[in-house]
Amino acid sequence: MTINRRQFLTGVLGGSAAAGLVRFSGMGSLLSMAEASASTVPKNGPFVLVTLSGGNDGLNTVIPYNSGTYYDWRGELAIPAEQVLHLGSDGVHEYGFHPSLTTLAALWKQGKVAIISGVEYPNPNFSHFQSTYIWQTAQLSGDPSTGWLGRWLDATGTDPFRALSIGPNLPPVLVGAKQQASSLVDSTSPGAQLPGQNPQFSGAYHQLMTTFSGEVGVQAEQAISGKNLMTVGSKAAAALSREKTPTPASGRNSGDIGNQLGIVADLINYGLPTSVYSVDWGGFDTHSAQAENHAGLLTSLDAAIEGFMSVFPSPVPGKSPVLAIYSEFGRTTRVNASAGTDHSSASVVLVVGPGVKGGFYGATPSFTHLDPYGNLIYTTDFRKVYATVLERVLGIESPGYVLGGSFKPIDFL
Amino acid sequence: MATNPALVAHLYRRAGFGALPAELDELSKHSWTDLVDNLLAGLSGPDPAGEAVPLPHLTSIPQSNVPGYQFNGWDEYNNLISWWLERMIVTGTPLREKLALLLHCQFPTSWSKVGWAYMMYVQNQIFRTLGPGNFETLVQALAKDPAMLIWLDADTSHRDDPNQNFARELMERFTMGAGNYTQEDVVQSARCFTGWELDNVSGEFFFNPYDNDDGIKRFLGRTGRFTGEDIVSIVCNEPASHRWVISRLWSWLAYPITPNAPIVQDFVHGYSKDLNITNLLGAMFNHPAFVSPRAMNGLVKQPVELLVGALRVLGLTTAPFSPGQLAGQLGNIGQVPFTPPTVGGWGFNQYWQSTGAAAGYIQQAYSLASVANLTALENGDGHPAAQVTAALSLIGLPKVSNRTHAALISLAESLKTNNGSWPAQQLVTLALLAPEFAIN
Repeated sequence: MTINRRQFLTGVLGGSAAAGLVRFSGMGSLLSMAEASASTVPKNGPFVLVTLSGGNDGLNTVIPYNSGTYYDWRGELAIPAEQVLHLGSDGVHEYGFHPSLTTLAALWKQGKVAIISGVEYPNPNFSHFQSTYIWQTAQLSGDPSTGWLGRWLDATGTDPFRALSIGPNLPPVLVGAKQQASSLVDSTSPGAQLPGQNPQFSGAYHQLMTTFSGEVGVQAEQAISGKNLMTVGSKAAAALSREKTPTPASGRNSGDIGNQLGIVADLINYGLPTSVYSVDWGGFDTHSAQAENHAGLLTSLDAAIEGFMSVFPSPVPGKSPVLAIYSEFGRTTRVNASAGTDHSSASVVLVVGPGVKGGFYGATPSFTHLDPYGNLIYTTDFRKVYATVLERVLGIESPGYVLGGSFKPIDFL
Repeated sequence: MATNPALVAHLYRRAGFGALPAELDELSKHSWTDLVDNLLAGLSGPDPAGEAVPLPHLTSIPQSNVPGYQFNGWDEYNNLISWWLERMIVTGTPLREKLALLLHCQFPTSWSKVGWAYMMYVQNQIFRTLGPGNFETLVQALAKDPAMLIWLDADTSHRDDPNQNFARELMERFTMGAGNYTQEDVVQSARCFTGWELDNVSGEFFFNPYDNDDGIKRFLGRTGRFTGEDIVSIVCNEPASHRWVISRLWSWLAYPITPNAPIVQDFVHGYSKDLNITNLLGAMFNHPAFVSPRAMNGLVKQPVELLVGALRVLGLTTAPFSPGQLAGQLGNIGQVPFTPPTVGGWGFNQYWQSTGAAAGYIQQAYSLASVANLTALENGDGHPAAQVTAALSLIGLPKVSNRTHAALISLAESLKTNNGSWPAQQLVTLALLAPEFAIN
């Protein structure tokens, strides 16, 4: 979906409506809660989960450019050594970013980018849907489950500000058994004239969406979504009407991912008491004509990060976002007959932020010992990344109950 | 024997897009069995009202190949969405349109990748014509459907390098569900679909024997020189597929379940005999659990169901809305026809109850109330209780919670001082947002 950030949500509950809503929403108490907890805010945060849907090609994102095997595998899709943006060696290979990732390369030099290699889970699943589900639930079987951040929501109360997703459909990661994240949408489609300008309407809507004590069931859930919209939406509208996120100085088009991360930057900068943001961007399923498509996708991603990170040049408590950029799987080591690559397994996770400890983490998968399908075998359990976020961003001392086991954090934070 | 109007309303919401308050009186005079039989008969009978909705101009591949021919794919896409919504609104065979919608949810295919509204229409007609019959026949047709061929990458699947996308989704999403096959089954069955191509001149399915792997494959414990058709036949007749198809339909018609839910077993015997969807639907509507409290209160309307139901009770068609307007509003709620987010499709209940969707619903409800003919309320005496009763009656919600009633009364009271015609639009907007209206 396309989001026009300046009109985003304000049509629903903006202007005088937002003012009219504050009366009902208990905003004062929420603000004081946020202030009270400020002293215990971990050094890094909030957490921004960036999902690249479709299966981003890790081998052509962080490129082992001195490996002959890489060139054998990739043929026409291989990025020549003289084009990569040099990152140095992890002890196994010399690596370079894809030439589109100029901002990430600059941030790497500033020590703000962690590259975690070989991340995946055991017994890779090559279905987009199943693999995304495994990543988002941190449950390996693919059976119906709750999201790993949904379980964190279940365990930490009912405040609707805790987690925010951009777009109407919540990804599974943000849905728990009892709690789910809030989400925000665009309201710019034709005919979006709304009754929110009328305080009487807003008051009645609030009454309509107030649950009875102890009420459960689908009607209660419907009411809670409306109530939470008023609480979160009015504040978000205020944030977006005040903040002015700079566009990428390079002038590159950051596309939809730029819009989404721009909204997140505004909300963080405004000081929303939100610990987790989630954005989702697709198009990485590059089965054919990959070279051009992938370069375009990475250019938009890099431009989006350029705009986002320009707002957060150095760590400030509550405004030291940690972006974790992942995809449901990497792509096949070998180029296919359509100048593309197919679904595969282990790939890289990039973590970016003003307070991130840059460097190589995890371990490069073997290029000689592959799985029966010729895919890279993972070296780093994805739940270690989550454990790091839960302990060192969200301040959960023992995240085992969220992850279904104990996983050692990685020192990128 | 007459049927309780509340049950009739329930049946018509689930098996269609809701009965109008005026229709309920007449329908309630009939027995449940007759009502169900009548809905089922509509699955294969003519639908003059639906057929009368003019199909917008849609460009086929052969047309586009004419030198100099130009078309606007975005307009065709939006016009096609309006066309289908209009059919849902006016149809005389509501279960057939509902089934087409549910099959779209079961075989989620998106115009955003397919790129041809015409192909989305062709697939939509397959749902309408073959959906009520034998499930394997339906899947055989969909496996060769041009939209499906593009959607799941038939063009990148070759004898020397089979693409696994279709083979995997066929099993995982369309017929059996995850956990009932191995990666090796995906690899082997993908070989069987090689050489299945879309002809770029005719725009039709084309079998290319030179790019087809006709070797021996091992698949789900069997060994043979299987074709793609063989694979479809095998998976549709697996016990796992019986449970999957039953659980999916029950989840959309009664309440969400998994394939392992005990109630699935109640339908397995009947369905496994003939894979007939009409018979399965009949068995579901006649199952006692279909009218259990869990079913009556346990399912949230999908956004398309809610929109079409709202348009119907308000006496509206798609006519007052510009192409793309209703689609844009649905996009903010998260369900645009012909545009599922992934091959995983959409979710159930909680999936539709995000704060983002709540914002979209406010916008949509106000838009609908703005164009509806609300003369009866506007000319009413303005007495809050009478106005609220009239608004609820209009949208077919005779019984609501004290909460909903009180909220509507408080808005009606605040509106009563207005001069001239009474501002019914706001009251109807709020009524459409009542949690009760979101329940299917």
